[in-house]
Amino acid sequence: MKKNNNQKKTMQVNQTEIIRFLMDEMDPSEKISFEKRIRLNQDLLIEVESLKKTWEKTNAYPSFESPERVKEAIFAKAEASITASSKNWNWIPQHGFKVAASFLVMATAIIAWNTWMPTNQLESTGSLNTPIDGQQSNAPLTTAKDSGIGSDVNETNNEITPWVDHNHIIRFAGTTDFNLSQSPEINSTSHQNSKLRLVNDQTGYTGQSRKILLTGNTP
Amino acid sequence: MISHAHVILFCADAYHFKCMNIHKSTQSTPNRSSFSDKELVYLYRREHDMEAFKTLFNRYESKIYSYIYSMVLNTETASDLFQDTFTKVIMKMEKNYNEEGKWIAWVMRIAHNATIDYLRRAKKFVHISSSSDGEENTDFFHRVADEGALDASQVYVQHEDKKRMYKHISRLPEEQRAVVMLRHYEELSFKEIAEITGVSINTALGRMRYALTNLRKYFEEEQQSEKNHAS
Repeated sequence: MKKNNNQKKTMQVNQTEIIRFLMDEMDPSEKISFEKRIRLNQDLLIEVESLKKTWEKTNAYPSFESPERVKEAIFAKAEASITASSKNWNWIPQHGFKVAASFLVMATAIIAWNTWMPTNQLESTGSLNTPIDGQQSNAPLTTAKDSGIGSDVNETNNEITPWVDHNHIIRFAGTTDFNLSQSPEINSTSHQNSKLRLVNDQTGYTGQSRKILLTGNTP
Repeated sequence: MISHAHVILFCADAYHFKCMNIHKSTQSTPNRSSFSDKELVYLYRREHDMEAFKTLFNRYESKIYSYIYSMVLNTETASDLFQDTFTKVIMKMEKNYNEEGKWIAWVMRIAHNATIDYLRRAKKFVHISSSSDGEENTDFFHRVADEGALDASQVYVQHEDKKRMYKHISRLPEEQRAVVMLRHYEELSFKEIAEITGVSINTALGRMRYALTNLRKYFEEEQQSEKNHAS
């Protein structure tokens, strides 16, 4: 039973292969190997030759021509389709330039808007920060924990604005040519806390606005 | 007439640029028979070139019609289905045809579907053989395409062969006939035949195998009956 099934399977494979061979659907290596099999198997050779002759007979099968009226009807439909689609697209050559120009103007406007926006945003941010800076500059210097984030923008101001960083260093902005003895803020701060002393070495801080440093850390 | 600026709008890739050159050449030489199917399809779709459509149509018209005719075996029905097929082709080419594949394979799929739909509907009412022209039909030779000048005896022999083949192929089951005709007329690969008929490649190969075995049997039967007549 099992043997019969195997034989059937082999035969089925052969049948498909015969058609692939006859219809030139095999790749070259398959074709060579199949030709070898044909040479070795007489039955296979007879079957292939027989089917080949039958297939060749189909060449005699006639071709038919469609009636003229059908051809004309099809051509008329094709023309009508062309005309309809031409009507749909006719506005392009007439108004194409206007449409293209309006697209160009829109694109330019969008690009201009995008390039203008960031500066505008910066300006608006700056104007928001100004009052805060003003408040901080007016606020008295109290503890070392206080931080003045926006104070470094005060370069333009002539007033000395102190702030404290994380190393407990009190910094004074806008003090490029500063006379220590004439500064009441520094003197009062130094008196209030005797541990504070003037630091000349500005470790890590070389910004133009950070010239005078007072620290509570001992060197 | 569409301007060149308009054409440039559509020509996005290299293929379309190639087609633009074709467009230029069509203006100088009206003969489109040397163009490939793809080029003709492009010219018809994008340039609305009616001559391109006619060239494409004339290239395959006989094969498509013959396929439909061999399936339905009736002139009127074949003409209707042929016209329906091209109506769909024109409509789809205008809208959503994908230019990547083979045009003829796409058209054959439409023709095959139209034919199969008809055969299914027809089976519900009448047996197809009763509505077919059959071998007795007197206009058989009129529909057969003219294949050049031959003398009378050659014409007779050829027509006899054709008639015999027509008779045998008409006897094949539809699905086997479809595979044989698609291969015979369109020379489609079995992959394409499988796609058109909606089966696997192995099934298509199997159908061809059964078709050839059946045809061989019909020829043998015919020979036998001729021998019997002679004796």
